[in-house]
Amino acid sequence: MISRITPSALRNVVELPERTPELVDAGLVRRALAFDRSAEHALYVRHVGYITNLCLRLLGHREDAEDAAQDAFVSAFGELATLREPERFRPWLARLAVHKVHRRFRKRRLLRALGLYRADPVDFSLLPARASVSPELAAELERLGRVLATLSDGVRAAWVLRYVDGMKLEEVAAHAGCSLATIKRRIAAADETVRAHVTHEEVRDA
Amino acid sequence: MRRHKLPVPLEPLVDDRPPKRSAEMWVAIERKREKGFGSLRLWPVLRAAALAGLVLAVALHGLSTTQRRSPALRLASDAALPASMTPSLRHEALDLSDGSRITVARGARIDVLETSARVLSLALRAGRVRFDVRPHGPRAWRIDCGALTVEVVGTAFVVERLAEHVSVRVERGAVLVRGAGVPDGVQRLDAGERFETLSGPIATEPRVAASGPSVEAAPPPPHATHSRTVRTRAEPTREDALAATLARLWDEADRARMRGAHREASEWLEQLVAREVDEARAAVASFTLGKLALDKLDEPARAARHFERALAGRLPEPLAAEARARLALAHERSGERESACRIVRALPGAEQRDAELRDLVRACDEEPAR
Repeated sequence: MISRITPSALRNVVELPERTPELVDAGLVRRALAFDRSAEHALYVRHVGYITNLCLRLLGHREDAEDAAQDAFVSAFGELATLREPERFRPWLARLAVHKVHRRFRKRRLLRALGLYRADPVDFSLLPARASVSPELAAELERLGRVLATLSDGVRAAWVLRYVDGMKLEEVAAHAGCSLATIKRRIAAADETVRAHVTHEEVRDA
Repeated sequence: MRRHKLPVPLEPLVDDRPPKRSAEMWVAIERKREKGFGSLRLWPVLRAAALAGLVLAVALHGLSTTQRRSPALRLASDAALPASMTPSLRHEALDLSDGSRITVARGARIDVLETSARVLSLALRAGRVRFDVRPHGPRAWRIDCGALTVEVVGTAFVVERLAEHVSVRVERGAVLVRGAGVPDGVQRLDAGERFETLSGPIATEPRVAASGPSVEAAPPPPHATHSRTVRTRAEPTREDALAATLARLWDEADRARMRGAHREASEWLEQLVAREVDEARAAVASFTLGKLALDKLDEPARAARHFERALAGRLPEPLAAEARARLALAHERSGERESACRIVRALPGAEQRDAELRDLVRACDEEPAR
């Protein structure tokens, strides 16, 4: 009699590498580099939520955020061959997205200087909580989102990249194209406003 | 109310579900990729265009502001410019609204042809007029005086028209003189320079202005038959006079060469070499003389002397290499094979030059070196 071998049964006898999200990404990147459009779509599906929400946290407007996210994916698929570590696709894509966001900040500044910028209403749901988060923390996140929406672009972006996405100060400064001192000053300014409404832990760089 | 402390980074707490429009976003991404959006870098292009537009707008604004602030020229007393000025008893000075001054000598006559925010156009009918034009003013001044037109923006100069004779003398700044009788149609005169010509129809050719010692110092060319219009210094120093003479000699030599009068060009250059104090320029003149003697006048022995003189002076490279090659040819054509070979053997890459030099190299190779 031939017994059926299930994947779980097989894993018990053959040691398979664990399919971490990074390894899945790496495999998809390799397939995308071999002109597999379905792999590109799979990468998009896996990361569009994270990237769009990242852009939304930084830009404060959903339409702008979706547009920036699209541009980030377009750049990513166009420059995929330059990605040295395919398993680091997600942080690489996030960097591209942040770059697109900062380009939009510069565009806003120029339009504002020319008197041509008309700001849309800010989206207050910048930090929607996951379903698994407790109602108390979800309420705190919503409060924090409303506070962040009142900050200026550069100040909000610096704080979000540091406290929400956990970037190092040097990375935040590099993305913003300004000095470390300026970034520290912006984060401190944002933190003063934030702490008046919510309490959070300190970020410690490893 | 008790506050809950938020753990950082907050990203693990934040919902990152795909947006509702993710399917439309994917279609938009595909469309952008088909259009090559990623490589176009549209925003820098738009930004550059916006910047260029801004600069243009500022320039146009500045121009219109200047025009608004610069109405037609008037007298300093705010009276309108007279249509014509003809002082009969003594000279008359007109102070203008822009700080410029026109001094019209007794007996002179000047008419205003056009006055606007951009141009002041005058016609000098006769006599002497001094113009002291405020520098960097908004108007271009144009003075028509028969065969000559003088154009200026900011300077001081005197224009004199006596019957057929017109002279322009620049005291400060620079002017352009234009006219059919002006060499090449237009000449620039700097401070201290003077230009003279005949006025009226150009059927009569302009003549040599014989007012400065620089012109008198240069003897006439043996074969010159054409008449000339020249610029001279109003108050030349000894150095100025020499410089003017040398400049004129170069000028005459160039003109003679261009019309194929090689003998005459050679004689102008001989005079120049005899006067030139600058060793490098004298060497260049000797080199040119050598070329003329070798290529045009078929005088190889004379050419060799000129090339030797050029090489003894401060002839700049690569003219020096060219002079050595031509000296070798000059010796060869003079029958001085031994001298030619001595030079050609020390000449790097001689065999790669023209055919005559290659033949010389071969001939020298066949001859035993002494």
